[in-house]
Amino acid sequence: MSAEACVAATLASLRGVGVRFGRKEALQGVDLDVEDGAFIAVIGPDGAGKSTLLRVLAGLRRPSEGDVLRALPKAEVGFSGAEFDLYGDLTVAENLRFFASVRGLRNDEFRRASARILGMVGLTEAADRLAANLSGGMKKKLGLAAALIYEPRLLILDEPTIGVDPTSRRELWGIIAEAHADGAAVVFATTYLDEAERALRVVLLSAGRATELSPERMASMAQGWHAWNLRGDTGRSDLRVALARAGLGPRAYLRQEGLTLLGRDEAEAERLAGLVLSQLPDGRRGFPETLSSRLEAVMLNLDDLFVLAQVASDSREGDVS
Amino acid sequence: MRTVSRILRKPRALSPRGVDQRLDGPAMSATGLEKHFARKHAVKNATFSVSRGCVFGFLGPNGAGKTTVLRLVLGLLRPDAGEAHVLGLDPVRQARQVRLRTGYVSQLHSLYGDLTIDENLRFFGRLYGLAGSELGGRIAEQKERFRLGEHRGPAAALGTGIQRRTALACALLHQPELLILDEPTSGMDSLGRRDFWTFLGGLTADGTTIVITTHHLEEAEGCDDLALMLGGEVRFQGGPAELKARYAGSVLAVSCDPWEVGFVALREAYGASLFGTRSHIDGLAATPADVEALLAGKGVRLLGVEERPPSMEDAFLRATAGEQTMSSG
Repeated sequence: MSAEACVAATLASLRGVGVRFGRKEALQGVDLDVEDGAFIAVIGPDGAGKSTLLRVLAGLRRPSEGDVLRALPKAEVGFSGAEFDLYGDLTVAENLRFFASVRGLRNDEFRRASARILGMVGLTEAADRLAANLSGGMKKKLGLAAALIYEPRLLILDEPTIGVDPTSRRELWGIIAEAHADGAAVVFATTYLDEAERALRVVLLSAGRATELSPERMASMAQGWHAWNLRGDTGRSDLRVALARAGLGPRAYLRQEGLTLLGRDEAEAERLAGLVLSQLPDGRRGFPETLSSRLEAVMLNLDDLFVLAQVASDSREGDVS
Repeated sequence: MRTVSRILRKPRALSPRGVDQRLDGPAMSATGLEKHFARKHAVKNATFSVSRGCVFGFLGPNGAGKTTVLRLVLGLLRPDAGEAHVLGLDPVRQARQVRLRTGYVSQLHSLYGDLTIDENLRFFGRLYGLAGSELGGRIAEQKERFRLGEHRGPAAALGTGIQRRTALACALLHQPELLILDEPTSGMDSLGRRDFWTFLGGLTADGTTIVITTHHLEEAEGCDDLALMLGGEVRFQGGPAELKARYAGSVLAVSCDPWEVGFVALREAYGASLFGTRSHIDGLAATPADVEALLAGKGVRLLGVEERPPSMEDAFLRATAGEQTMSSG
């Protein structure tokens, strides 16, 4: 991003937003600025408040405290929920017409927009099909089309690819990226952290609190933590069994290259690796006495940071600034 | 019910070693399976074999026939031709034994939404012929294993992750030798998925065979063996590394300015995906020189092209893209 982009206009801001459901605090003191051209991923575990945050941002829910500032009319905010929330007994075209009329699009405007949007999401041929009869991927595309029909400047998407196959997933991201390249700011929630890598900014929600994962913040979260890969000739299925028996939680897991361990230093990684290997059927046979020669430091991925944030918040040891 | 309990108490192989020797033959296999529905040739000559004690993944786009194959093998549907075996049994003629020795969690509606977690567990336990203190013990064990203790109220009102854990607990009450999971992690968060996979590893320890379908292709890397289904056929069976080697080339990550214009052009020409401001394209679709020429033509400045190893998703999309060309051409 060029330096000019830093002074982009703010489209919407949350200031100290809190939402309570009865006694439960779904969101607490959330600040968020969405600037023109933003592409923001909101990640977090189940129940962290992702959907609530997006609904507040879209103006669908009033916060219990704090302020929502919006520099653009509600009509320029497009929203698509995680669940299919369109009319199953209307056709694809009728659903779009309904959403366009709710937003006050004139007939000629609608005709132009609908042809373009249907083409963009690949539903031109399905225009006369009942929404209820569409496949999961097509329903998600229709939801996206309904949010895009009034050409929003801010597009808010709750789990835009949940439950669809990889082909549809890639297509949906293509459509979203096209809308973004066309000028729409995008804020989306996802549980797939590889999808968060598509974003320019990532916000982590944990128990209702938001932390922006800026590169500096990620570096500080990762501070002192490393991922280590253990190379060895042990079969994958034996390692998998040993891992389950060792019961080390999310700090030890299998990835394609082998066993991965999250630790503060090599000694800790070596200790964790030892605990896993001791569960192998023939013990540590095939591994040297000291494992350091087999441990290779690798980059922490977003999943690892997510896990570390959880570990920290669970044990209350992480002193969040 | 008594007979059922007796079947359930049949001794099982407990040691992780020697399971294959004691129980011969694959956990699940199919030869030349065919299934037609009114308008669709849903499964075409499907042949595959799942070894005991492994984690086996079925991959394929929606409509490729994954769920139909699983239902044929479980005896929930009858094949038009071909044959299937589950744990050495014939799923059509020995349907009851097959069901008592397998656990199946379907994508949707495997729980009763208006029953609580405990009521669901009791209901499914009784279906499998469990009763009394044995049932109580198994329920307690599963509730602890899946951390279900604190949740009250009807299942429909609980979060997706909890519902999925409950469904899994229900399917494990009778300690099945073969567990079939249709998209088990859809809707789970990443911690939930990591936990879940570690948990699956524990199940394989006592020789349980696990067959899963997933759309999350990073998970396919966790399987020992995979079958890729396309258009009703099993197009490939092999390990994750083999699948990647067969279908994927490298990925080109392109940085350019202005990225918006560059991305739109690269998407139109080569089906690019956007990551941040970088466009990713299939390295077999274009060379860095092609990219440079295309962008120059649009007045876009190329800042860099980085070659990256393919992901499982890249391999999958390459395999299915070939399919679309074949069916339209």
